[in-house]
Amino acid sequence: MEWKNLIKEWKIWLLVLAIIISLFALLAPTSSGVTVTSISESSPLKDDLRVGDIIDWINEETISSPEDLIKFETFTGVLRYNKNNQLTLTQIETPGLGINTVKSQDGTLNFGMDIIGGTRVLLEPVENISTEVMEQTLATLQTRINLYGLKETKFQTVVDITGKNYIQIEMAGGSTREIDDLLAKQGKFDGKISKPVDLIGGKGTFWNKTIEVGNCTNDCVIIDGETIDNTSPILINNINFTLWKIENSTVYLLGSAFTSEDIESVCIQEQAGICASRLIKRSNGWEFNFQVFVSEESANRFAELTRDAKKIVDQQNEYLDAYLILFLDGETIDELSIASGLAGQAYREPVITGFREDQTEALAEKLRMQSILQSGSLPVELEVIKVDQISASLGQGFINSAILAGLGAALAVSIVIFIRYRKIKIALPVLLTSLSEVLIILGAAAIIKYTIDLAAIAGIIAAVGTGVDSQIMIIDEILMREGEQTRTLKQKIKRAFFIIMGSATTTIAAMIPLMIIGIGVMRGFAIVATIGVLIGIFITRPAFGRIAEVLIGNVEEKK
Amino acid sequence: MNLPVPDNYKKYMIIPIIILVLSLLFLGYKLGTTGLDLSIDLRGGTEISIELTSAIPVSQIQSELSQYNLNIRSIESFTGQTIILEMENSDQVEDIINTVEQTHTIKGWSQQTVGPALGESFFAQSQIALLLAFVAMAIAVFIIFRIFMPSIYVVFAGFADIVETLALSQLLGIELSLATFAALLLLLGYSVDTDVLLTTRILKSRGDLKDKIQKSMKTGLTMTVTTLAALTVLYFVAGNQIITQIASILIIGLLFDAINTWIMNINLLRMYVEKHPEKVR
Repeated sequence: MEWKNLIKEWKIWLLVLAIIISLFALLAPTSSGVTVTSISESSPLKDDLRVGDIIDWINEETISSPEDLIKFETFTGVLRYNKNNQLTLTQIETPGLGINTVKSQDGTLNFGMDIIGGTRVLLEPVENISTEVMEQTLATLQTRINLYGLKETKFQTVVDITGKNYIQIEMAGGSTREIDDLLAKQGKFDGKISKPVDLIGGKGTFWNKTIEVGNCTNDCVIIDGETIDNTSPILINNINFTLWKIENSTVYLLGSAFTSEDIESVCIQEQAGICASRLIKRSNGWEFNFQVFVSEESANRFAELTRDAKKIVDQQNEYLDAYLILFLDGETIDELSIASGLAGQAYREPVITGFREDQTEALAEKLRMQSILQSGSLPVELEVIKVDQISASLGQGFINSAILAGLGAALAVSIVIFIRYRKIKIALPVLLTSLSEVLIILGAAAIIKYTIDLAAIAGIIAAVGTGVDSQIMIIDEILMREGEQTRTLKQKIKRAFFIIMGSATTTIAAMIPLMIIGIGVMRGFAIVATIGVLIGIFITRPAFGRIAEVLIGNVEEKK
Repeated sequence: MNLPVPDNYKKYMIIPIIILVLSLLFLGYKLGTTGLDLSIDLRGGTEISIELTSAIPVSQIQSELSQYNLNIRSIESFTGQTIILEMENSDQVEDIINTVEQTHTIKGWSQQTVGPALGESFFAQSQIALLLAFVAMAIAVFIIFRIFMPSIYVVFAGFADIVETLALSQLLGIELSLATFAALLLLLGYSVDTDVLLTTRILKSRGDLKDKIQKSMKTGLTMTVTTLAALTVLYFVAGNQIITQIASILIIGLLFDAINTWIMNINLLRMYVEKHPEKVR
């Protein structure tokens, strides 16, 4: 009889609807990548892959089904792929991947870095910058990360109450090394040609100008009256020059041929006849190289700087007595000899080389440099001011304990309720309502693709906590007898809701300052707690009120 | 089950007042000398948490890592042992992890680094957040009840809860962090729940005063006990430092709230009702 009354209630239907929508949102599988099911003995990937690994990105292409892998069966070169959210690089010599895969099913809940592991970094521009420059910085960072295929990398600008701008980068599966070396690095690239000038008696000539050693605390020289050292450049024939070093009676100047702005494109993938990008095994390690394409003006500067260089013969090869020195953010990364045939030529395709003992490190370094050069230098220098890093295993363990803790808490609450009221009729609806509240909050999170992190979990706990309190208030109001007069059931429920709205309002009032000021943890917590309380007031608690009315209704409390 | 509602209630109010005074004195002393114990997210620095599969005595870790200038703490939990290392310089993190990995199995680790200027900024912002929340809540309470004195009692009880929880947590060595700030705010919300319940029942329902008090206490204490039960489970099972911190602050807070609501606030209301019986609807 009582159940029939319940079915007519729109509040109950609202709750049921919310639960159904949430279940759909949480359980509807979305495909994201492929799962490796087998790896053959001859596969070039057998050292890097294991059965069960999930791949969702290869060489800048999204992989969503096994068919997407077919085009890579004929691939040779460096395979860059996203394995379980981590970028992996494997050199493939002979074509053929040698693996079998199936479409993966992935959960719909977006888990934050606290739970799946990763790195979160807060960067501060060293000087105040405008919004445009901020946008530019973000765009450059985004380009840098593109080659890395880390889908889970999020860039955000964060503003605190003093109006200061920060950039927050969250990388699932990344490490601080990637952030320091790749993203926080400004990436100022310089390619300079060394020009040796011999001095006699402390004086010499360079390009029709007089040059002599100066008298400074650090090394400096004076060219036609202008002093230069190793930091401040001067213009000679429209080319920037700085002083490199003074050795015995030879002054070495550096003329700037290429800078970051001159790089037009970077060769990422070797293409026969078009551009070179290679990894070569040497006796003591691995050498990598790749071509970059530079602007015509910079190529002309190169021509002018090498035009009058002397030739040196070394075994069978002829080189110039001028070297191409490459700098990244002021640090020398390479010293390249220049073949004599290039003297006075507008050289538009310099090759960047590097060397590492370990193959994996060589591949990683090559990719890092390609990425920095391709994206260009950041418009402003960034300083790392906050780092959070969590290893994936810690995160997984956390999910397990969180579920365990949640169930344990639900059980504890049910036991207390049962002890107090001694009726399953009361304890069970409370338990079910609280569980449905958690379900609906998670469903809402899945629909709006909100990231569930620690703050969100704490927020859910907070919301459900106030939920249980509200239910207890409703129960007691219904059961209460007041002296001689008894209020009608309706009046009692009304008063119960007055109290509940009151407490919900104060809870939300406490959360609002957190949302405004909010940094990280606090803001996410406040948002989820507020959403939870709102879901409670509008969906779960009214429904519970009706359920309680019908089930407990006119039952008198046992003293 | 009848809860005690004594007639000579006024003398019991000494207890919550003494607790409040002691807490204020302790906090005053702390602020005047060393300042509050802050976690690194509010003062800057680097902290690594390493979860080990088996329990190792802290002294052993200390000697293994003696070359780095570290502050080492250890937390035993359901799932194993977590050692927490604090240092000034974040460059050594990888070296330290490698050193530990050589002799022990690591289940996982996490790092948190905060620049000191940022930490200070967070601390300042948290204080403002707490203040704003307090004010917002006080306003909300006044709007709900529209009566002056009882609203003051509610706000006062909330203030006492926060001060006493802060004092005891500092005494127990729980560092103040962004998470504990969030917990304090949550505590404010919960504390007001019980006070709003109490005040509504007393002022807006009919019946014998003692009876009303008796029933509100039953409801209120049920609410508090269920929350405490859930928090205790969370504290022991959750296995994550942030959740444990939030749980311990809330547990301490709710216990103080029980005293402040059911010994202090309730008796202030009793005095008020006895003086102004017409205010009860």
